[in-house]
Amino acid sequence: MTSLVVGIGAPTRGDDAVGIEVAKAVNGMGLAGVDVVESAEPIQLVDLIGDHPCVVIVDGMLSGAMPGEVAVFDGLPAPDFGPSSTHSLGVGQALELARVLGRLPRDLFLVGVEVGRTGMGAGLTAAVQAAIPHAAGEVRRLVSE
Amino acid sequence: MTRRTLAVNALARVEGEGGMFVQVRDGQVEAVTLDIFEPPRFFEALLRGRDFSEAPDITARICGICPVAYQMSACLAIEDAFGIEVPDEIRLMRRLLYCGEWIESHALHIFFLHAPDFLGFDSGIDMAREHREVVEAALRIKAAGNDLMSVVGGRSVHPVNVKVGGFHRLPTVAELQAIRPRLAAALEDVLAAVPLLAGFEFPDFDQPYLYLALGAGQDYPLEAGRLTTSTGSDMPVAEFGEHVVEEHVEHSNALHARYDGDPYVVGPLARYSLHYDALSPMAKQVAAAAGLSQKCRNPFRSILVRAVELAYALEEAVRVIDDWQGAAAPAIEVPVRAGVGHGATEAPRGLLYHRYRIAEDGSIGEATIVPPTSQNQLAVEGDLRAFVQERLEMPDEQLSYQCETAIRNYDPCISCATHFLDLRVERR
Repeated sequence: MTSLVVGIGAPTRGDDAVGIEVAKAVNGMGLAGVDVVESAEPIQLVDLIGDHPCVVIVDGMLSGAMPGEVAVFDGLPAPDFGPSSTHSLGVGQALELARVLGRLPRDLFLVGVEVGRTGMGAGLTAAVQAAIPHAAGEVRRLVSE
Repeated sequence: MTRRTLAVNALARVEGEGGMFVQVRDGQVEAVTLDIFEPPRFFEALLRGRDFSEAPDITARICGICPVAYQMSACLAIEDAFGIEVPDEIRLMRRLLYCGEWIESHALHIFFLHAPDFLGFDSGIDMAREHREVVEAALRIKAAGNDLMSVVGGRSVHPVNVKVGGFHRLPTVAELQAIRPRLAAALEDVLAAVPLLAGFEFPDFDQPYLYLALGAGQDYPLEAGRLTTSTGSDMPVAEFGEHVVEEHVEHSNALHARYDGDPYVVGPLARYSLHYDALSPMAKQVAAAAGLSQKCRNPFRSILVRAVELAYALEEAVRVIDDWQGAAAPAIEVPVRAGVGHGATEAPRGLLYHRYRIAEDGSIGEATIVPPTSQNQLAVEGDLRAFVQERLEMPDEQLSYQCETAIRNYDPCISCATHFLDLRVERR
């Protein structure tokens, strides 16, 4: 059974793309037994995570920390974790839905990278760009454990 | 004089990209303003100076839910500028890909976003606790759409296989046949869910809308067509700009579109009411089972129309797969020339119009994108005005809840790129 890494983010919203960029970096490592999905709508997590014993989700984070700071969370976040919209679910909602449906993986981790600028426009800020190797390293550590 | 301000600060998102405000004075709703942030404005600027071939993939990034719509309208507009038309088999493959997007988008909206409103749940998660089978079925339906997007579009989010002139690569007959069983099973899941949806209580709320949708003769409108309206107009897409004018409104950073000066509606209600005849016999049976007549003017019943379209899209996908014989080439030659082109297709939430002016070297000089949500915006405001006026006695919480439902009737693309929605009610 393979582990799964999912990057979440919006490539046109500045640092919000960081989840995707970290997933790309992990993909570039060519880790054996690790599936990488570089970009997903949170609702797709419900389907994606089903067959994997270990899932690592990488997303931008807005916690008040310094931009570029990397945090690892073990287990299910609160259902209201992450924003939602009129036509999609947030990460927390999607994972809560997976829990209600009995689809959670054995091991679930969230890797958050604190974002700075998330306005319209592509491109990461320097601090967030610099955090990608660190975040990707954390992902590799989690899937190797 | 009694004065009461009902500030339904709907859509007040973290970065201040949207809000709704209702003001009531002496028992009359005086003002309704809906402010929606629109990523397309940013993309129009971004596209200037880029090569025409980049437009499908760049505009696909406007929306995570309807990237195919942006790709398709961009391709049609650019092909129009170059004076080319793709052969029928490529058009059919586009239709198939588009079915995948309708399936994903409609399944999400019907079962996870709109049905909870009618069942009295705060979210699809609460609904899953009590209607687990329905939610499991909805996920299967959505997954069938994902499969279709992956096989035809190259991947299930932001497909990468589309280009001006056709596709980078066409799926094989075997690849398409492999996903057919899940599409057929998903259709059964939709049919099984129709009685639940049909049993919802809908407010009595018929509205005198002006409808605009593509018309495609025998085919239900989707990946191509002419502009048709409920006032009997039928014209080429190139005439869009002669009728639809977008205006800046002081309170809003969004543009409000009018058709010959009037508010109008695009989307499932418009497509269904104008082109019921083009539905398949099976889809018409679903409509009958859902209690719909041949026209629908109650936006709350849009959830039923979406169910009809969802069943149609699944059946249509299976039909295209069964008829698929392959194509001579995945794409046609694209002769670059200077020109202006127009393209419109039916995104899940309504007609999406693109216009490009392209220079001799193939670079984009000017891009105009008119998304369905800005076209529906005045109608949403009108709905809320009429809806609140009739329900002023309702307690805040209930009124707020029903206003949310009324906004969701349109499946609006609000702050699509960032996924924020926060709804707050204030009444003074």
